Amino acid sequence: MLVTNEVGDYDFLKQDFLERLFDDQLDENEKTQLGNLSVLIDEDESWKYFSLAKRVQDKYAPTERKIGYLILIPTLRCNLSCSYCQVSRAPEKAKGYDWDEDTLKRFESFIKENSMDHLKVEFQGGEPSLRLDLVKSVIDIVEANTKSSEFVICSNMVNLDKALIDLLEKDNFTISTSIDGSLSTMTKNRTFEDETSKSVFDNFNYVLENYGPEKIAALPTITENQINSPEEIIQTYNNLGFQSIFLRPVNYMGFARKQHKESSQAINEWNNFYLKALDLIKEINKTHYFEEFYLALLVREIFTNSTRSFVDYRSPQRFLNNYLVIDFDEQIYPSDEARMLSRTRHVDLAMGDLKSGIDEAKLKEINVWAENQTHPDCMHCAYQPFCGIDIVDDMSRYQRFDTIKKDTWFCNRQMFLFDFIFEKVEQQDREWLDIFLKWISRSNEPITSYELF
Amino acid sequence: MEFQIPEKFIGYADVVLARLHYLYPDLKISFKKDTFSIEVENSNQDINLEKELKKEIFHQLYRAKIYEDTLPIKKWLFSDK
Repeated sequence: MLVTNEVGDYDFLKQDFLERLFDDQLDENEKTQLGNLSVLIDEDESWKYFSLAKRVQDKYAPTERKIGYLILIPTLRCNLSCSYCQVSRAPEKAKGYDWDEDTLKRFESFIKENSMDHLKVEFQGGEPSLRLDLVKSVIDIVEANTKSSEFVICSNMVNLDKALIDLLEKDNFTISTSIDGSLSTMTKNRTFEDETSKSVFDNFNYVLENYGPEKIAALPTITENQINSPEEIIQTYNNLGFQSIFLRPVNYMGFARKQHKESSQAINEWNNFYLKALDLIKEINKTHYFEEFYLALLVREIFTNSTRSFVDYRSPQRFLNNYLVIDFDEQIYPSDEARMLSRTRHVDLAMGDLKSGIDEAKLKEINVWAENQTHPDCMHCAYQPFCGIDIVDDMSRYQRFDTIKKDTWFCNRQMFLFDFIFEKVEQQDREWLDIFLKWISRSNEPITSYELF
Repeated sequence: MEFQIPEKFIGYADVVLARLHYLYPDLKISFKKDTFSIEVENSNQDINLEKELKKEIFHQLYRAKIYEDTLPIKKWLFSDK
């Protein structure tokens, strides 16, 4: 049985230890194990309380807002209409869905007011490459008002204009795109025309061959079209030379709510798909480095106590503390998924706008519920110190976030992943522990330090 | 349908009643002494509805108690820096 404390120290005890704990029948080894976790504290060990309290303070104490990541939507217009598009995209020729000069001025004021040292900007859409003039203006503003910056444009790569190629010459500019698998899968999920899918692959390969893998990343979205064949998507990414794949299920948001209703709710099918994919990833790791992004992230956070870097799965979430989204109409959102829910008129999660600033009162209202530390279900879960909370996903799926946690998609997905990781640790499965060590050190030849586990 | 609750949860009944009225606006729900009473028009009681209501009532009671018990932690987590 896995036992954890408030800050994520853990150990394994015999299945019946709880009964013996309350019967005062623990053996000396078990008492030591629980003492090391500060679960059992002797009367003369009050320092353990203070030590644990200090670590809780360091890990969870409130911090000042310091924006380091912005998602910007310079236009909502798009030249594709993907089956799972999560936003209410606008047609390519539509009017009134782009930033204008006044928006740029207000954006510059926002950047100056929030005094950012380092800023990463992600251009989302719509298809942001339709307005590369705005992208360039944003880059100029950010570079003039920060000490350092990075930019990534999330483009469907249907077109690869010279202006976009020119931007790639910048050291701090990269492209992220969507590759869902083979050409036929791309056509089913995204383009609905093989010719367009071929253009996407041609443009992708052009960037890869001329600028290298560090200049272009790709993300898949898994729908019912891929759920039974993880081989295709894993091999596609492996063959393209990627060392990482982020296996993302189609969200239960936007157009996917209708067009992929079944697969966006079928957690068991997803977990089966994921398990098969991990078997394939294990095989690939026998010859070279290859990670599943999210599992590798969890492994690093659990065993190296690294900071929660993935904004969707933190606790406390602290929306808008270091990350926010500015939509085409200047509305400010805590996440891209929150933008989607608002755009589809599901629930208004806008937290202000560039004109009037951040709505601090509304932000506090949502923030106080976005934590698992006092959540009635999560607080008794052994995985709580490693887990996050996603009340936006809960609102999307269940229209509320006070549902029983173990019944939610989020909890079932997370539990599955934590079970997988800790089973490998408890069993001391060297095949998987070796892979975890590779992912922790981001190297194909890590130091063999099994004591981490 | 009637659901009797343990004495130590009675103090949270008003909060839960308000939430239940929001979640089930079509049902007539009341609380007296230590029991939630729910009027269901169809005399053939729906077993699934009964299970659902029982689960929801006790979940909401438990939530309300944990909220009160852990409020100092929540206040600390979201105190002004």
